[in-house]
Amino acid sequence: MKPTTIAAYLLILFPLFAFSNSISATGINIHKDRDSAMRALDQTEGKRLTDELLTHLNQQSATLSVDVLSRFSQRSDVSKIGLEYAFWRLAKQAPGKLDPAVLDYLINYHSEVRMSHPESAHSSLPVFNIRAAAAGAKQLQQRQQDLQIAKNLEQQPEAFLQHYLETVPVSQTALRVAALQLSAPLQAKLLESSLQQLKNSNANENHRAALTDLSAGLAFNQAGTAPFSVIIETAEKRRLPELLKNIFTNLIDTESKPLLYQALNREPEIAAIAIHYLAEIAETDQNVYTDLLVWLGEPNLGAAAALALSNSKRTNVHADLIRITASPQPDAARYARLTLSLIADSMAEDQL
Amino acid sequence: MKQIFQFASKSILLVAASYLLVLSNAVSAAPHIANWTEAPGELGLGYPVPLPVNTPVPFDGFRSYNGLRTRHFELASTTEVVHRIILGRTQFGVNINAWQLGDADLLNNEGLPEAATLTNGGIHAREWQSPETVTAIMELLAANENDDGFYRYLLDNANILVIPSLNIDGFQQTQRYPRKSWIETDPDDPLTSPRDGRMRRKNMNGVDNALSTRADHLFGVDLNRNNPPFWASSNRSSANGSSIVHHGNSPHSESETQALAFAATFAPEDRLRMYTDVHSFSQVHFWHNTGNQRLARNTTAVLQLFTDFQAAFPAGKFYAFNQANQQSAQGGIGSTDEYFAETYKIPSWTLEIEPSGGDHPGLPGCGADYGGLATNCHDGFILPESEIRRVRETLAQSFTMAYYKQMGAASVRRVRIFDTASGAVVYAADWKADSATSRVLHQDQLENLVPGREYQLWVAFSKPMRWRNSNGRIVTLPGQSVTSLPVQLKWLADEQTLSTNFSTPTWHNQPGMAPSGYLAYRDDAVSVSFTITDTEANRQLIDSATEFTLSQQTRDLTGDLIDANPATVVDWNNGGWSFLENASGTMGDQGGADQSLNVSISNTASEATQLIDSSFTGAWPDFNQDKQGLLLEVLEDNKAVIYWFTYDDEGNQRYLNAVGNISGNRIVFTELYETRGGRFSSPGFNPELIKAGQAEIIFNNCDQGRMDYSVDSRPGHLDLSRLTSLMGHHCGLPAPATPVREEMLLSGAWTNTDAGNHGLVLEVLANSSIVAYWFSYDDQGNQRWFFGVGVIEANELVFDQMYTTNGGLFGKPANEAPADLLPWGTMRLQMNCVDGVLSFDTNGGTMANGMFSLDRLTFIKDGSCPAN
Repeated sequence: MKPTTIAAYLLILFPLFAFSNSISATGINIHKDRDSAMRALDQTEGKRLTDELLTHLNQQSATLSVDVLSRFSQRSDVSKIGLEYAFWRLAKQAPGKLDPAVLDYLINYHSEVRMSHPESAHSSLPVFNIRAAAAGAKQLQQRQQDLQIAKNLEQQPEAFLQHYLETVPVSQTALRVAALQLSAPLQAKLLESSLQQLKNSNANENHRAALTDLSAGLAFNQAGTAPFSVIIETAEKRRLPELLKNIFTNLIDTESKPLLYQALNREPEIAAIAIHYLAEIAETDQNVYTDLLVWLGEPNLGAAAALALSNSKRTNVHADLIRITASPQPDAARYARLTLSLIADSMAEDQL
Repeated sequence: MKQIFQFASKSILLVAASYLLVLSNAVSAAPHIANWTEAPGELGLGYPVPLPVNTPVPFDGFRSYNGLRTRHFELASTTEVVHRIILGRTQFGVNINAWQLGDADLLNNEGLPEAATLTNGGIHAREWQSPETVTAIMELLAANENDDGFYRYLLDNANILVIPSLNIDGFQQTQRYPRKSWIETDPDDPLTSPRDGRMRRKNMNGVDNALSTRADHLFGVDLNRNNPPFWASSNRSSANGSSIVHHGNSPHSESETQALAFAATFAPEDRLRMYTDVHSFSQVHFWHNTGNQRLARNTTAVLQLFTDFQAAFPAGKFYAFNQANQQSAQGGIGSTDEYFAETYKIPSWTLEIEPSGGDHPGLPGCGADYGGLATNCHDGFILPESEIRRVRETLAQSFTMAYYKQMGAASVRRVRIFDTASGAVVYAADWKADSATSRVLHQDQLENLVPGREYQLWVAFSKPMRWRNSNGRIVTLPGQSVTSLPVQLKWLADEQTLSTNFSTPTWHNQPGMAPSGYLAYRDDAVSVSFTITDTEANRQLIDSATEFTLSQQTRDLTGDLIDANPATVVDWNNGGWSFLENASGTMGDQGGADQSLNVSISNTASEATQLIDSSFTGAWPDFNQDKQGLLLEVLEDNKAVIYWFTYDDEGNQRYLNAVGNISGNRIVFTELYETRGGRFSSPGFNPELIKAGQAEIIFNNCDQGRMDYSVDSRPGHLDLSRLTSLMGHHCGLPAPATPVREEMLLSGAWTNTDAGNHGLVLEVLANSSIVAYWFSYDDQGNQRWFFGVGVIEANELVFDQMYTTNGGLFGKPANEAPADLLPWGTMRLQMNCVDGVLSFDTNGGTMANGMFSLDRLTFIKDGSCPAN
């Protein structure tokens, strides 16, 4: 590791007293009073400096804007905490107001005004996390730009989709909302393209995740459940939990049930989540309930079935589990006992 | 909402909009409940708001408390290495569980009390990374319980205690309201510190479940401010019940902190060697300096290993920490790591899981580390779902590295030297614990080492010593700066080095013990060929020297030197290692070269060792033990079988079987088996075959040998002496071309599974008497054995008195575990070379009388039935 990097890491844990001068000079209680510092600064130099900075920045080109910040940070009449508060507020401004170069400057600014870390008597954190605020602002800025680009591509589903895939996740969220504002035929076309790409096994994981989310959102605007079936079969597994939740929440049981059963064919972790939702259907559907008991005997599904059955309100569940504990199938018997243990544990707690 | 859609299949646009709804909450200055949202807003994250899912199976997201709990129960139910301990109950009456990871006996594979670690999760409710990570430790160890290597070593030798979720009430409150928090209500930081709901930190003391009841939403006790000795000792905690760092009414006033303190008793306390409280966020380790500088150095050594290993994963997450010289001893805040450091003088720290806090190079901090908006930096407590799998899985592995280190320095456990040409063992050494603090060395030198002759040295250590990559190649442990871990070997003659050619060492990841397998765990053993060069200088040195010593030095996979003196057992005491010696014998925190083994080296070769042949078949008891011992059969193809008739720890009869490989004067049994569940008189039962351990026999000569074994994870040995010799098999002489007497071919093993589960071992002795050992079960499935000495009469073998025993104890000498000899009945055998009939009468005993057929199972080497 480079010495400069080590030095940066040391700063993370630098003893508090090293910073005490700059903070105590402001009269701020450093251990927890970020809030009172902000209020005090709002009354004094913080607001003034922020306004002053904004005024200067509005008058400068991108290149000169960074110089403005740099000069500001060297002014002797500006306290460190006042400066960093102003920088932090600057980063919190509406993202459209700041030049990307300004945000980059702030992202690379290392806060010197510290407060004690909540969990350590010996370590500190920035009072104002300028870097995080600026990084967040930059994401917002990117999001706005991407939305604008997407607006220009509204009539071109293929181009819209390509732009969607190439941008950052925070923009993708916005573009998915924008997609839902398209006309019905364009939405259908976009869904078709998205599903087509989702079926392409060569697509990378992140693209597949983005395609899953987009397809799912659009599918809710289509008639029938066929698109969901395609998505469940081909989706990036990381995004399936969210889809299954929405299928369960937003479709009627007769629509969601076959889709949830289909999800049992996916990875064990996805199947387990499908069982969680099927368990609610099982409260009123004898066939699903019977399947839950059967799944106790399948090692990949047994624990999920056990959890589901342990929460069941059915009156016969206890007797059914007792019966299965005597099953010649070792896994079924084991997971039935596990379910009974979970029930017993909860009952013991409830008796208090 | 679902009910609405039960009536109208799809209110399409509404559903779609709800799926992707962008909330843009206006910032309000008044106290109110705000929403954490994916989209920009008052508490906008910039990534999906994680919602707990009621599933036990790890996925790319966060499990509900019940999902995690079910997972813990499942691991306990489906593995042998997860054991539940109920520590107490929360304010709401929920059981607080600790889980003991490892085998059940709490003894290491030397039979000594295991060292323990304690890892606490979920003390702060909103830090969902923590219970997932601690659960991942359980999952990692359980998934690898049969790896026969690094993880199995930990499971056998460490008592790993984990508490996945301490503040269960608070955790469940955060999961009840995963999208909501109060803002503008924190008494100290109203503008930037959301409270309750998803941001609950404290326990639920004095709080109800309803988020909407504002009056109590700030209450509860910060469990990481509720601990002695620094409870309420500074302005870092507060007496104000609404403060987020409220310290409670007294030290350990809360049932949760009481449970945590109680957990240490299951180590037990004097075995505890490491404590970690798992939090988020900031991506750092905080440790408490007690003023004990040795403890400080050892703590940072563990942290360095953890950090380096974690940083070596592809994500490159660096966990910073203060070095010992950067942190003075000065008070505390009432945290749990302070409590454990001060109370037990062990490495204790608070781990703050990622994201970073804004100081790491290249990382802006908070949710912005993942492309989030960092609208409010408390989003650092809300790790994106897309990150949690990586976080929990990598941190779990880093934890196991720390556990490995805290088990202490490796030491030499066993050494074998083979003559390459004959394959015979010429030198054997074994260190075995004889108390909690000391080991004794057993050495056998069967032949002198002589210059110019090639030997193979095999050394086994007490822990796995090398790390392999996914391709099975030995590599430097990820994150370690050293590029190689040499094995430094020397032969010393009165402290002068003998010129020796050593080959490149080979570490072993296959079973089989010496010379080309590991002892107990993959990569715990290394072998090297060597030749003491036949030079004039060496010969003179050998002639003049009085003592020859093997000097061996290496490091374990984390870079720690081996203990130079295995005679004392490395332990932990007052912040440092005890009985860890360097080459000079100085105790400290660093090991060194082991020079504890003295070997005979001569310019003149000694008589060659007798190699194993069929004549070694017979009964070989350890006369220090009472009514137990081994039956050995030497078979064709360099195979051998042992039948070990012995006892369990309760005085019940027990027997173990194994098939081994003969090499020179040695037999290796890589798998000793125990059978359970057969029946004496009921057919149809298939006994369960259980691996009980492994063993190695080395014969010094025709009449003496030694068996070193590990059974039930306990090491031991038998000093074997010959009791019987078979007719027609004379030690050192070839087997006769024709049978001395036809019945000699009956020696061997016989079986019947039609009438019950029976095995019979017959030895036809040189004096024509017959020894029979009958291995079976009672009708409850417990192992039983009977034996007797019979005579050959006309066409049958007659045993007028068969015996059984009870009362002995496994591995114990006769004076500690005498066994009673009990008459059992009579037995008659009508046999030919291929099959026979056994009839018995227990003279009114519980097994009554009966008869059944026998089939041949084994022939002694060089024996077979006549062709006709």
